Amino acid sequence: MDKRDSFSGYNPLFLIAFFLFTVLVTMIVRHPVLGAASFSGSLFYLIYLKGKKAFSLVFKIILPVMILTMIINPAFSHKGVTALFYVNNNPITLEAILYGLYSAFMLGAVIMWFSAYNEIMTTDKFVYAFGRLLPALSLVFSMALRFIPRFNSHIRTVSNARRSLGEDLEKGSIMKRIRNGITVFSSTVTWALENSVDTADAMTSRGYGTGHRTTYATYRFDKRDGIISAVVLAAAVCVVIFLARDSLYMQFYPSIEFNPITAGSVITAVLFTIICFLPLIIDFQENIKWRYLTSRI
Amino acid sequence: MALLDIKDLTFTYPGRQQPALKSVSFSLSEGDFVVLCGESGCGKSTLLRNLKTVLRPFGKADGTVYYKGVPLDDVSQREQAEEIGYVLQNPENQIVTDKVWHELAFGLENLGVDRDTMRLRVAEMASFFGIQEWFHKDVSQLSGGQKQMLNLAAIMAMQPKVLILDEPTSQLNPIAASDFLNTLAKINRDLGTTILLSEHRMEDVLPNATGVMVMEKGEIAASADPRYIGRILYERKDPMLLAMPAAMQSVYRLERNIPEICPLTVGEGKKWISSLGTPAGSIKEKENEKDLITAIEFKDVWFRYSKNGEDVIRDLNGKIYKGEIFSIIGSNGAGKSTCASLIAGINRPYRGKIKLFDKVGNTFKESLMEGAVSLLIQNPQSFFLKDTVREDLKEALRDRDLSKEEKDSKIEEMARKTFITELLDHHPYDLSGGEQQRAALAKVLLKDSEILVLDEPVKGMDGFLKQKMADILLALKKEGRTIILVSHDLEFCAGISDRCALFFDGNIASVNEPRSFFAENSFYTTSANRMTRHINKRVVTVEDILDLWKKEEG
Amino acid sequence: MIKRAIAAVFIMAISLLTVSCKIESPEEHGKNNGGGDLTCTVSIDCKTVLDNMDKLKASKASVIPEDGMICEKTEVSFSDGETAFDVLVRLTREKNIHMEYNKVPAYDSVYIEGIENLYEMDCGELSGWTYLINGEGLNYGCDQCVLEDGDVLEWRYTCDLGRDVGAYKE
Repeated sequence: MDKRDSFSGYNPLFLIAFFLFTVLVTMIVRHPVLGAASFSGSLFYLIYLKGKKAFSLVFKIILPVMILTMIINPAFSHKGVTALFYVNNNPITLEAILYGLYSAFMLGAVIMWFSAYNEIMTTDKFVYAFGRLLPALSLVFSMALRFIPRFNSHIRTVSNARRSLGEDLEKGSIMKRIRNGITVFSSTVTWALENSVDTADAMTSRGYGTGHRTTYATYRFDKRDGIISAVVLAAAVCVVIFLARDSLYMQFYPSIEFNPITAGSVITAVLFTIICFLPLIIDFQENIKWRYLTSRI
Repeated sequence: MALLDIKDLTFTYPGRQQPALKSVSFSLSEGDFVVLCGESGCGKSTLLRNLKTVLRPFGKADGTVYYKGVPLDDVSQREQAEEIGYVLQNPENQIVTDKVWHELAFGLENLGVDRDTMRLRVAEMASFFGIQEWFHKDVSQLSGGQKQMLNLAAIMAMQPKVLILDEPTSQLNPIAASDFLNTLAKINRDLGTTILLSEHRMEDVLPNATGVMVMEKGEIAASADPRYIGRILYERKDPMLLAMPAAMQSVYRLERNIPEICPLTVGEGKKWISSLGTPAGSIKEKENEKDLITAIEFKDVWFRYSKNGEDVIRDLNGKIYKGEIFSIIGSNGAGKSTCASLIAGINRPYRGKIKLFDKVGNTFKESLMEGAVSLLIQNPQSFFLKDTVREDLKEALRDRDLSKEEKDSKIEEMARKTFITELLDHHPYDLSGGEQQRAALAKVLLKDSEILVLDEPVKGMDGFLKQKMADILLALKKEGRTIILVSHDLEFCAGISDRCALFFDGNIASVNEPRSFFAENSFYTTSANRMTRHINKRVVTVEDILDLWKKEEG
Repeated sequence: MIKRAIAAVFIMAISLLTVSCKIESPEEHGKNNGGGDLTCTVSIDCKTVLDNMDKLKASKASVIPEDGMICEKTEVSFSDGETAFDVLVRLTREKNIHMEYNKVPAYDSVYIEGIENLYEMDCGELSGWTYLINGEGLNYGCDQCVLEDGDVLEWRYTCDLGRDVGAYKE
């Protein structure tokens, strides 16, 4: 895929806030219009991001989870006034089935938002966002990310060394294998401690602890980030205010009821839909811009 | 005014009688590039670590180190951090963070540099070192050479006035090492940064240096311009001469036609060799052995690490004979180490066969193959699991049906063979790199295998330690064992091997006894060979040059 | 791996549903309720809610009848050995009244969670369904309570752990 995603180029702080907002609204607010917006927005964005791989994720993980939710909810919840049939004297109700259906879509949307999040938020973006909030911890986090792969690769080296001495970790009785595993692990811990002396030297010799620390950032919060953040923030505030006034509310139990459609509810639905499709809108706008630019060259 | 001025520095480690440094005095001026050399354990690291207070080891120090005329103890940590850069031996251990860009910025972050300045300095250094391409990568994806280059760049981003480096290339392969040393020369030349470097790859570093200091048992034995250090060592009859570039060695060991200005590079050496005239002597040729018994045979071997990966070993064929030292050389990623792991049975080819033969030349049965081959992998630390070397060696004998006394005597004998008797009760991590390598070798040897595979056994060793290793290997050869060396060290392989093989693209591109082997190569060969190949292609070592030309007089 | 695990869960869920369950349509559910030669009087009410409308969940307002009677006094026939639970099931089936129960394994008894979509804790934390036999509250499960001919069975919704309906026992 040579499609490049422009949405992920925005400042990580904005991206985290964006995902947090969409996922929270999707999970907390129950309304089919919002659910549908969130589900379709996340689905299309995921497909745009991952191409064919998105389908395998949808069919192998998301769809089964959704079907399971759809089955489980009416099987265990018998609330609702419209009994369709009875199982062991407990009613299976239309409301419970619809609620299960709704939950399935909500769960699907949340999973897809998270996989899109995973796709764009690389560890250094996360460390950056984290560092803006908790600078001291972000260094620890970065050091841990350095340490873990080193530790693992040393374990592999040690077990290779053991194998070259004929002590295969995968052979022998369980007790022998456990004993072997413990030896390898403890020697790796010793190794890590011994070598951390060097790391500590390298840190102090580069002035660690000599005074106030600043943090370098590969990301800048620029004008573009400011504009998009302001726009999304304004939309999000509107959505939250209208939601708090219950202008978009759906009741599943005991009977399905909607609040009447008002101007507020329409605005909320439209704004939230725009927010959910924002990644795609930005990508398409950027693609068109490129086509325009290349046609002029 | 001198930048760094060391006056009568004496340093004693706690609990030792002998001081590690004995009234060392020297000074470094702005723009100097000084190389510190000397046998392992002569006090190089101790001296270098005394030049920065946070790195100073525990112990008693007398004398003073002045930085810009101020005693070092009175220079603030911050100023030291900023102006005295320090690069350590092990490239891995010095890297603190997970991303290349973060590592470059780490020092600046510590100094509290504001973000815009940081951006500029990081950008500058990334461009100077050619790091842009891997700027956003994870550190774990880099090669050893790239890691050490990153360490250097990270220090340079802080714009130090002095750069101190403690054997920075000992863990690198020759190509990466020479890259690194050339970059150092470029820093010194273009930025004027003062450099103090301890190093044993004299070939790459001397032509660019402004001074050389030779250390011996905690003292500075000689200090001179690189052009004159040879003469001083020659007059002192100092064994350090053997660690110098091939050209310098040849001049002073041959003791003939000693020029006014000592040759340092291969080119200069070549010119000098031409001035010697036609050689009168001859090279000692090894006798061809007859009745060779095959020990290992490769038959159409193919290997890859994963099903969809690329072939690392492709269509490998060949034989290794019993009782020979067989060297495999070649560039990084050619499949040398993989080949070693295949011989040791750690990995298995997906096509083709590797046959092992027993003492009389019958094929080994699959079930008996275990223990027939021992492999010493690159990282000796990965062999140590216990608190003392002795315990570790015992561990190797754990499954053997021997009495306690037999085991103890076996360990003592092995320790003697590998020169680690005094080290048996030390913690493995307290040993130096060369000692660790020998202790790991002892552990491998206790398995008593007929075939030994050694991956980079002399990495990071100076000439004396290499000689020790060579002695061990030759003794093992005498016992009739087959030894396979995987190494980047052409000089070492040339001196010790019966046959050398050039590995390229997953198989053996050429194989021959060392003289013919290096005679065929024009680039992948020893310095002595490159210096003299216009006269005699079969020269491999400095000793051969001596043999060729010395005879004339005597 | 994941695929297989999911498939296994599916098959288990479906087989559980089909094998161990009795599935009926609402029409079938109302008929063939059995019965017997004995009779009792059964009523279902939630009058206490009327006094506690402030505590009632807003979404449940629609299920509360004006007079609080979900089912007026009705004669229900049953056979010897049947319990208050059996009779409740029979009545709610005949009248097509919604009812959800739960088997509590710890006590090996049945607990009535909700009737006519009015559930426990819908009207304050102490609210829920309880029953009285001949005006007296019992402190064991309704499927343990064997009825006798002519018993008066009242299913009442309490907002105060049974105190407000006279079913509370020290």
